[in-house]
Amino acid sequence: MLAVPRTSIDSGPDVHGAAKLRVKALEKHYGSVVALRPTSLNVMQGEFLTLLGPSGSGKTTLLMMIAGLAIPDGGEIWIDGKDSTYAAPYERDVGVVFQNYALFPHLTVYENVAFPLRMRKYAAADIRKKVMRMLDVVGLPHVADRLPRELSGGQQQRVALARCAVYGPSIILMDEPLGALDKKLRDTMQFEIKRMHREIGSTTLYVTHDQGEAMSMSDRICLMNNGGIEQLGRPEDLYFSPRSRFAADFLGGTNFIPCQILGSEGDRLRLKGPLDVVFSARPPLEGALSAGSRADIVVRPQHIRITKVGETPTGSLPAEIVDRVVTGATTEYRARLADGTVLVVMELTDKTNLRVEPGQNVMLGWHLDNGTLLPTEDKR
Amino acid sequence: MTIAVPVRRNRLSGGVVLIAPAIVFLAIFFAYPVLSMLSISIVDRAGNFTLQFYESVYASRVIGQVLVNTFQIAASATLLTVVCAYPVAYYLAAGPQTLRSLLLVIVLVPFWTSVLVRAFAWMLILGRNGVVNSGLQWAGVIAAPLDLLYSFFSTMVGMVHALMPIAILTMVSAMQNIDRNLDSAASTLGARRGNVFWRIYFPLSFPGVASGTMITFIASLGIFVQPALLGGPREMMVGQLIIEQIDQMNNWGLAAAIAVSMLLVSVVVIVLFERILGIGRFDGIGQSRATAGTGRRSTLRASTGRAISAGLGWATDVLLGAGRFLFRRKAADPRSGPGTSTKIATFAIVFFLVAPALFLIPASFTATRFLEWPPQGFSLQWYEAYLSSPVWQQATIRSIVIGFTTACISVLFGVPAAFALTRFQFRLKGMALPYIMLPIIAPNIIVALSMFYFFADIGLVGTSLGLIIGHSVLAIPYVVVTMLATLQNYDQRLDEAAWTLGARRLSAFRLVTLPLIKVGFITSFVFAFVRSFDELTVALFISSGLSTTLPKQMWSEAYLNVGPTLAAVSTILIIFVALIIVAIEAIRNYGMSSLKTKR
Amino acid sequence: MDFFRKTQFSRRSIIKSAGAAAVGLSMPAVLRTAHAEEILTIGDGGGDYTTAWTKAYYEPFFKETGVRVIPVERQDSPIAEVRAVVETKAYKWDMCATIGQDAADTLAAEGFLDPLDLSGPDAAQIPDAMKSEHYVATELLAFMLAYRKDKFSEPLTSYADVWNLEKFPGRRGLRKMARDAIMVALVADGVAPGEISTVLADETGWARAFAKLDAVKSDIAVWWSSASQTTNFLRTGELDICPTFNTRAQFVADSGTPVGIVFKGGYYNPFGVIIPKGSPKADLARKFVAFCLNPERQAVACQEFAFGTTHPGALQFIPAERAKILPSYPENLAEMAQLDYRFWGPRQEEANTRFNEWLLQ
Repeated sequence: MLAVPRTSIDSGPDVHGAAKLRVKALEKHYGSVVALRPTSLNVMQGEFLTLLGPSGSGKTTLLMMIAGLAIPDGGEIWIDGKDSTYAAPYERDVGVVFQNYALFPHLTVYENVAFPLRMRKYAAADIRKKVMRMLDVVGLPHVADRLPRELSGGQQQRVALARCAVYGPSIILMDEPLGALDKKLRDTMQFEIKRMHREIGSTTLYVTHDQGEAMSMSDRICLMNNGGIEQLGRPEDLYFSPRSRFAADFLGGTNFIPCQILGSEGDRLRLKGPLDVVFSARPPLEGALSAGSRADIVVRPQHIRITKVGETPTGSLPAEIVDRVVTGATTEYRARLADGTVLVVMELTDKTNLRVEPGQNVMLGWHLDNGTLLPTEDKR
Repeated sequence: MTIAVPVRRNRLSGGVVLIAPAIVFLAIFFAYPVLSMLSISIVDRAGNFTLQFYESVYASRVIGQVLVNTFQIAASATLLTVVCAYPVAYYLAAGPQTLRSLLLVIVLVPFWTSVLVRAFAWMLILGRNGVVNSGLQWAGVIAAPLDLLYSFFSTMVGMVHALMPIAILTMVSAMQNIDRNLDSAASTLGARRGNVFWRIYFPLSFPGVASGTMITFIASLGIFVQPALLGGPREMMVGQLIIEQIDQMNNWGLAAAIAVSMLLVSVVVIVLFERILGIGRFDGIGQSRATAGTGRRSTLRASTGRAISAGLGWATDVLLGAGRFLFRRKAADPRSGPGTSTKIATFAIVFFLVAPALFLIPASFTATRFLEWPPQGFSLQWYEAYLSSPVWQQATIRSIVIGFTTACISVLFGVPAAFALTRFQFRLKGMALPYIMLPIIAPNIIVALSMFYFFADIGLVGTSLGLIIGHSVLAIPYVVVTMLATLQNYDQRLDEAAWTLGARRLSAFRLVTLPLIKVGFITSFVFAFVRSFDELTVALFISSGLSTTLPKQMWSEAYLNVGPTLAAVSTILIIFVALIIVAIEAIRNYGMSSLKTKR
Repeated sequence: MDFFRKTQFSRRSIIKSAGAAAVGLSMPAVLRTAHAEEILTIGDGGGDYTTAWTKAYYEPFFKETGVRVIPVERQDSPIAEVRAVVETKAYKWDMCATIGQDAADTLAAEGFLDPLDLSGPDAAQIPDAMKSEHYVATELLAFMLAYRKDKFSEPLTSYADVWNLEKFPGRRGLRKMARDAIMVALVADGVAPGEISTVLADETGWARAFAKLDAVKSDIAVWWSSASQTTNFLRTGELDICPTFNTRAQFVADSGTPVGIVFKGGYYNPFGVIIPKGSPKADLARKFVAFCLNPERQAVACQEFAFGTTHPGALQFIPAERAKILPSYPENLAEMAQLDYRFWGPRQEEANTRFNEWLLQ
């Protein structure tokens, strides 16, 4: 843990009114447990922003406070330029898709979808039209008269989406809406949600702990950890330029190679890695590293190349292959350095590279641009 | 558009706002009068502070022994009641719809006959020449009559019979909301019936069992009519001692000291109960948010619970398997609802519940002046006596009106309090439930006397309003516990969903919450009604002498003899209530079917 | 009796004003002046007792004075209720009937009763032992031995037979009350009913009583607590031998069940009327009390349910056959003693404790 807690990382433009949703220094604790440290966040009109993080990272707490279902202990929430910090849920123009769908068990599918319209006192004919259109959009016009418990999980999920979207809320909040579905259904629903998002153009705040889901759906990802924002940015920024060991690890998994800074060399830093091999690497995005301090080189498994002993450029590490798993399109190797460090290497499965066998001694190397330097953090 | 300055609100005040009316109501009409009354336990006749009464309580072997007996008897009765009530509740919640209303009528039967009449009915059923003994002798099973009465056994029969409707209805309310798909899910995961039940259904129904156990236990602590009329000399309850001190000895100080000791022990028991069984704990979301501090304990509790469930599950499966092997029956579909053994148990218990009524109805047509078996001759004179008496009829109507008003008031105060207890965190929350339970634990005679002094001061003695307030004090705890059981299994996110969809709190309550907690809501209403309808002691003190209630009229009628008039009145009430329930069911079914055809 | 009020409701005035709103909603405390005719409310025994009193007193009193007497239910034991009524001045009844002399004595000693007017000629006829400044008996009840005649070839003659299991096998019950159990035991042990207080003057008497009870403890099938039970016991044959009140036993006998009644060795306790202290209609109540003491009316009130008369002249208005079964019939009365409530009053507490301890053993 860093000595100074990250209080906020606000990468959106902070122009009053430009953002659909503005969260300022919002915080929440339950007793002595901090659920959310003061956090700020802007969401743009029409944006699909994902709150990504492990359970307990504060993402659901943040979502619930935006929905008005949890009351903040401090900070502000502005929706459409209106202070909504303490507004009741029904006074905010938000729609929520709950993790367990929260369909009303005593009402039919039709009545579930009609519910928000009835609350807004739409005319009966209007309600009928809108509900049927929405059921068409989610492909469920034939189950209108059924009760939720008579539907499959995927169908319930789609009814929940329809119910949320039918009245066109200016912000849609989704709390792990695909968590209960199987893999295949999840893929279809991801696609459906994206399609609806495009069609309706609603601003969407999406909570998930699945990094794949976050990467494939989001305009931006807000990575959360320990009740605060770890990093906020476009999916590729997070992937290629993680700002912390956590961010690097949570998105896609990676290798950390410990090293020591020797000094600078133009725009690069010279470092000494395991087995006293000397590397050079780009300096980290923030914070200077002085000579003598410790750091990690972050290299994704697919960026490491396996070469034969002898035909190696400088900056390669000798290692022994200890395991090989063909997972399908890719093949994963585990390679152990002489000092015991184990690195994961991933290559496309190819008949020609199956020559590398466990027990074989090889050299490991990577393109310098693919290595990111992170200051060493204290173990959490 | 004006920008409102946001007023900072928080959950704390939400809970307090909901529970405050009940707390304040009980503070004014229960806690203040009763504490004032109990304060005489530390004041001697000259008005000086003294501990003499407490010294006598602790020095007395009798009081100590009776306290122990009371808790033993109450615990045994509670255990028996809950065990017997569970299959019936399960059947009511998960069994076929068609039998449900009939079963409900039968479960409620004990409520509509006064405590006194029920106790006498059991005397005649279990007596030396009673129904059971003469039946068994006639069948040649026994040569000489068995001693069934005036023992621990008959005390249990009377108490379990009185307590069972409370336990059943509390549990049904909680079981209503259990998702039956989970059973199917479990069975697809390879669980046999026993494991499905013990590992899935039973843990889910546990909030109901816990609430039912607590309310049964508390109610049983205050029971003394059955032990006095049906028990042996050892079945002596604290309530009797307190009445003895007040009625015969004119020693209110000692009575108050005994009552205080009893209340303190009861509060400790409730708190322990809450700790161990977790009544009033958070549901769903709240739990994950709130368990951070108590993680280790609750994990331990959960794993112990799981181990017990697992053991019972395998044991049941082995038994069922053996049964199938012996009787060469096919394995039942785990989804088909209650099995044969549950059905048999349910009908046996239902028969037990209805037995006194089965006895009272024919007995009410007797030509003699006694309740006896077999009834001698045939006569409608006891019905004539009731139907031709304006006093009886006015008493009946008055009791219905007062009961109904009491139920409305109790629900108004009790339901929000139950919401506060299940959904909100606030300071001293742990003390709120024991506090609300106090009116059931406090001996009736003490409550009645205290209220009389207080109501006399504020001019409520002899008024219907006074009686309604008095009865509401006694009924609110039942409403709160029933609603607690119901709300524990209620998914709060449904309300949140309704809010985010634009429903204001009241419409969300009306359109979403209320339809889903209907059974619990109606049950608590019925409890409150019955509590008032069958209440004697407070009515004797508080109500006007000129306007009697049904229990008072029955009490008066029993001056020389608990006779057939009381059986006739009970019969009329049973039929009346049965008709109402059947009519409601019929209207509902008709409504449902017409709704279906419209679609 | 100020200690209770002082300690309890010192904040009375605050409550009063707070309660004003509630009072506005409620009906008048007791409907006294609602009707043109005058009303006297009386807390009586209820049920059959009310029936008898209505016939004997309430209706005739209305005919004579135009005052309607309204009977009202009250607690079985009046002590707590009268005390509460007097201390709060919430007079839900103007007077009470069916008050045991022992209870009336306690109430009078505590100062909860208004004096009666016993200056009339009928009042003078009531024996001194059955009246005081605050109390006068209108009937008496006997606690005596009852048994089922059809179960024994020979009649039972005294409490000693309850202990005689060889000669009189069968199920017996005793009252779960220290005083009555001890008295029955001592009489069974040969003590004359009038000598009980003398015998109990020291510990030897108490030990003797409990030793006698020990001898029969395991043979008692029922320790009953409510006298209503005994009616059923005798009727259904649940018990063959059961000391109880004569009214209960007679009620069963009157309905054709062969029940034998043995007055010998029993005790009788007068029951009568009281006026709670400060009763707003005390004067009217006194008038009514005087009315009730008329022997002819007493005869009407007593004969149907076998209450004993207290006016010596009342028996002559009762048919001779019926008079013989009343506890006040001279031969019956001579075999019993009056309950020595002055002796028992201060000893009740200890007797109860000791008896309960014995029962729980």
